[in-house]
Amino acid sequence: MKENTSKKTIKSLPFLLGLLSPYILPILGTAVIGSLTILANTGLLAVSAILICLAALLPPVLDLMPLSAAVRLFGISRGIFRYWERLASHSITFRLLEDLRVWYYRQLLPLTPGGILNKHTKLFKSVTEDLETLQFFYLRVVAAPLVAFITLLSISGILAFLLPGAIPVLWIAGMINGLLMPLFSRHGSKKHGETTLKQELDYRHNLQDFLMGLEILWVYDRCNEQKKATLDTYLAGNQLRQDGETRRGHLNALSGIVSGLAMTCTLWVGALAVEQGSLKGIYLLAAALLVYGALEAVQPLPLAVSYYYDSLAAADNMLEITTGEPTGLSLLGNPTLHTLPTLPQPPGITFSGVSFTYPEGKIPALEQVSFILPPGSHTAIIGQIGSGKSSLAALLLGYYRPQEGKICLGDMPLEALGKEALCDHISLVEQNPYLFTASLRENLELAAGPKSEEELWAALQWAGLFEMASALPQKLDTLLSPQGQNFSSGERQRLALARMYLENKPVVILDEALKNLDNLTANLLLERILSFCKDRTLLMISHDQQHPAQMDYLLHMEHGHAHIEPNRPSPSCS
Amino acid sequence: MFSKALWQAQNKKALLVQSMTLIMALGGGAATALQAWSTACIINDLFFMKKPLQEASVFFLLLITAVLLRGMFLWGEEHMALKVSSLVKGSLLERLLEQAVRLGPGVMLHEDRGSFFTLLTQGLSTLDAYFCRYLPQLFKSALIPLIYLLIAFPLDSVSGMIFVITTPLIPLFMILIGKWSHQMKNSSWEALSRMGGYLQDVLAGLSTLRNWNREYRQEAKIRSVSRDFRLQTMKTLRIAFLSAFVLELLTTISIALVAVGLGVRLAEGKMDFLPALFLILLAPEYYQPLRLLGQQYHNSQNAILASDELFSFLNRSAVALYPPKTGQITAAPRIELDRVSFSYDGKRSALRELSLTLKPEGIYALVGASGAGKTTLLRVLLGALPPSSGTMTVDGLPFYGWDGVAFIPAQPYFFHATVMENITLGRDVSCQEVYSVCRKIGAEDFILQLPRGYDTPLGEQGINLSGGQGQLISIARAMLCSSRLLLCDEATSSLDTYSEEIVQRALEQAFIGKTVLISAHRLHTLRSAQEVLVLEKGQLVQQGTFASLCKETGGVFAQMLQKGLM
Repeated sequence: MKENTSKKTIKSLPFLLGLLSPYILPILGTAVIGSLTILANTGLLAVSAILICLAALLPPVLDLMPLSAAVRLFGISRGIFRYWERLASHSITFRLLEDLRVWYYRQLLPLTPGGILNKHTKLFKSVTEDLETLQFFYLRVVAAPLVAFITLLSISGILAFLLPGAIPVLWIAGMINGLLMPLFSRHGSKKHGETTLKQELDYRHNLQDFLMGLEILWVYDRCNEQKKATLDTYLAGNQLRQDGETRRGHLNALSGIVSGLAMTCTLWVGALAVEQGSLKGIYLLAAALLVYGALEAVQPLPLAVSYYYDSLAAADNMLEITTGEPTGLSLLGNPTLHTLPTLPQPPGITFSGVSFTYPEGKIPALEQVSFILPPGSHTAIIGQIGSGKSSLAALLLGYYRPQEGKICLGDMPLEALGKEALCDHISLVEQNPYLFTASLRENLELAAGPKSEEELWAALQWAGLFEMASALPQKLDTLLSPQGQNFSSGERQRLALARMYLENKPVVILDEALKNLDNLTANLLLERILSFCKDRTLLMISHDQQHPAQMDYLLHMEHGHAHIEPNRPSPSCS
Repeated sequence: MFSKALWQAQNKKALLVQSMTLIMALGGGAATALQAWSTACIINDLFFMKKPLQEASVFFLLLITAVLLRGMFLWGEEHMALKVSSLVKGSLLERLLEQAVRLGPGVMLHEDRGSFFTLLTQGLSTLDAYFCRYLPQLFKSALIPLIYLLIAFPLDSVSGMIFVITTPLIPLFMILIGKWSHQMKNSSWEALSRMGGYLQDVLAGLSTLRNWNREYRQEAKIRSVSRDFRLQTMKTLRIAFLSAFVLELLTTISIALVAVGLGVRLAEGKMDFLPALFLILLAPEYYQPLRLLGQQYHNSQNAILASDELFSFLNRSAVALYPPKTGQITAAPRIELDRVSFSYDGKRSALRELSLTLKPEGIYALVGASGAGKTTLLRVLLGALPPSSGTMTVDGLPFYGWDGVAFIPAQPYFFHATVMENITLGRDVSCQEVYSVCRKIGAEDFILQLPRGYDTPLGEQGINLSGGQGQLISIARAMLCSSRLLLCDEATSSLDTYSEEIVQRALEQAFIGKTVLISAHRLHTLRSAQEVLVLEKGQLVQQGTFASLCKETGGVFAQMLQKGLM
């Protein structure tokens, strides 16, 4: 377990640094501005101290002018530097986020859909949570230590002239506050954090039980017991959280003490130097204030340490999701073919001796499946849930490659055809089609490419959506709510059929595509589909035994085995 | 800025700890002043008076003491503030849960409970930022500058005046920052979530895009949407950061003004070295609390928003009749409703002068279109909603004060507990009773086949039961209740034929010797019920056996049957 994590850390750190590499110059520039912000504040205090000390010697007021000017300059520059730094660092953050999103998307593409199907929930959690964590990687993990380092370095440079003896004091205090204490606190807090999380989860479960089970608890008079359990777990979790926070509070206070002591030390070292004559008295306080002010740069480091580990974990997670073997067809088919292959229109479909087991599965989903569907034939695929119908479609769409056997579309093996050419030939209409959070027009054109207004309306009319679409506030440009929730399941299915109509491809797979429609509409649309598919190869998957009488073949699926027969309409149907 | 309701949410103990927080904060302020003063004294001795180092060592000791004290006060302050927050959250949660019980399941509608859950988890934890960060900072910003002013004025009235003049400007800009950052949050963080939503949308539909050969083209779209978002956000930030810039400028320029003024007056011999030095060291500390308060402002806003919701929930008046337990009914009761009305909002009635009689050991099926008042009637009979007029009696006695009812909901909820605990619900029943009930209703077979039998955990992290199995657990729960009145809300979603049969048989077992009212959806239930009660618009419109109601062509029931509305 431990070995595992260390191995991962090695992998994700270069990945994160690699993301930053195009921005090295802006990052360094921003860090310099960041440390100038702190230097301006420190300078303001230090020069003020020199000014007061000099004034105490009662010089002519004019002699104070250069110092007064410097004080004002520092006073103004702090705000300006701060403003500049914040803008620059946020700009870098958003650029990184942009890169990160595109990178993530690009990594996922070769894995679609077979390689990520089983990781769907994980993927979505990762898209929201990991990206959220990593978008602050630069701002919190990289920028803060850089600023601290540059600041300590430049203050050391000034101290080298003024009071070299204070340099070790500065660095020791800096190391304690910025590195030792955060690491030390992390050591103890990790386990503590886990127990806290567990306790909080208990609370959430209890609260959920209390709220969602309120009827039952109420009827059987158990409310007070559940209320007490909920409250108890909450208080226990709260206590744990409070302990953790208190520890953080300790550190805050401790680092304040370390800074204060560092200043005291510098004063002492400086006082000795003044006695020896190596430091002028007017610079004594300035030196101490320089050390005190420089330690301001170290303050954000404890947070940086904890964000560093969070970022690594998030990067690990993303890398784990994106490293997987592509399961489906590769983008280009046969590399020796330079043009896309031409297929007979419509193409037939041949499965010969196809066996297939899912990457994570144990039992074969398909076993020695062989059949021939002639060009332009209409076939109903029938079988119970889990009989292998969906696997058949997934293989035909190139989501996966079978371990054994060969699948051909119009005499061309799928591998040779390649993913792009394959998808150019097949339309899929699913039971629950995906609708994008975009306009109705985009939802149609994403499938079929740009179409004229007439064509779009014709497709909607064909799918029986004309009235619905005309009633929308902005017609075709109406924005759909996320995942098309403002449409009924029947409307969503009809929209998918409209897409199919526009796609105009020679092979059509209907996967329970009429399931969510009422009988009247379903029959009407079936007729339209059948006439649309007159010169197309049609596969119609259905989970129950009912199938339209107009089919040419019936393909029975059972436990991964296929059995094909010509469809002889039974007397009752005709 | 300051929430009175949250302040009053502190109980006595919390107020005590809160005052300790205040003392700690003030102590920290004093220690800071002491630190500045002892530093000034050291410089005064060594540089101005040219004393040897040994003579100044007492001030070094004082400085170290001040540093340690400051750290200790800071530690104490955080500790106490955390304690206050914990105490307030604990007592608020207790009141909120009590209120939920008081309102009962009739008012705490299922739909609202999700948002209530969020409020009791995330909403409650926003109070941390308020009590631990914002409130102490608010006190400090109000008190510490005031104390420093009292010290500064006698020493140098001109510096004191600069402090006084610049101070009101800081809260002003702080509020502006708060408003601006709030707007920024609304506009650009909304854009951020839109952007995040876009990526999620594309990923969710990725396999669809892939089938259209569109997935590679979508990459450019992601890039361009991201870029638009960045440019838009940067535009907002340029303005939003401006207010912070002005605030920063204001404090540093004020410090610079104080420093230059002190220098000039010192050089002109108008004041002494020690106070001048002390004041210049104190100046940044004077502005520090106010500066930090600006950073905490939006935290307070979130907490106040959450607390508004919490308090409005606490202020809802309770309506449920949590029945006090007096005696047990040993025989199946006779229930009579006489002109019972109920309205949720005081305007539209859900039940209208409804009268009905349930005879002992009778099995009644309740039907009606959705919105006819079936659920409301069940809630009234459960005691979760009090009728606004009319009377309900049990065996001739008023409804209040009897031993509850047995209830089988349409969608049983399973607790994060074992099967056994899910059946007993912590009631005083023995394992033997559970075994015998489960055997009777035919649930034992599947329970014993679960990985750990009766000890198998259910709920989110446990196993999922099928619809039929869940119904059996729910029936077992009801059968272990001693009440002889059983209310049953039949599930609308259908089970497969096999499970349906088992559940049906189990229900028949549960009905024995009880007065039963079922909100029915299945034809089988209607047929086997002694009488069918038909509700329409909150009124009882038909009553009779299934066969007789079928014959009344043109009646509500016959029409419903025809349309298949069951």
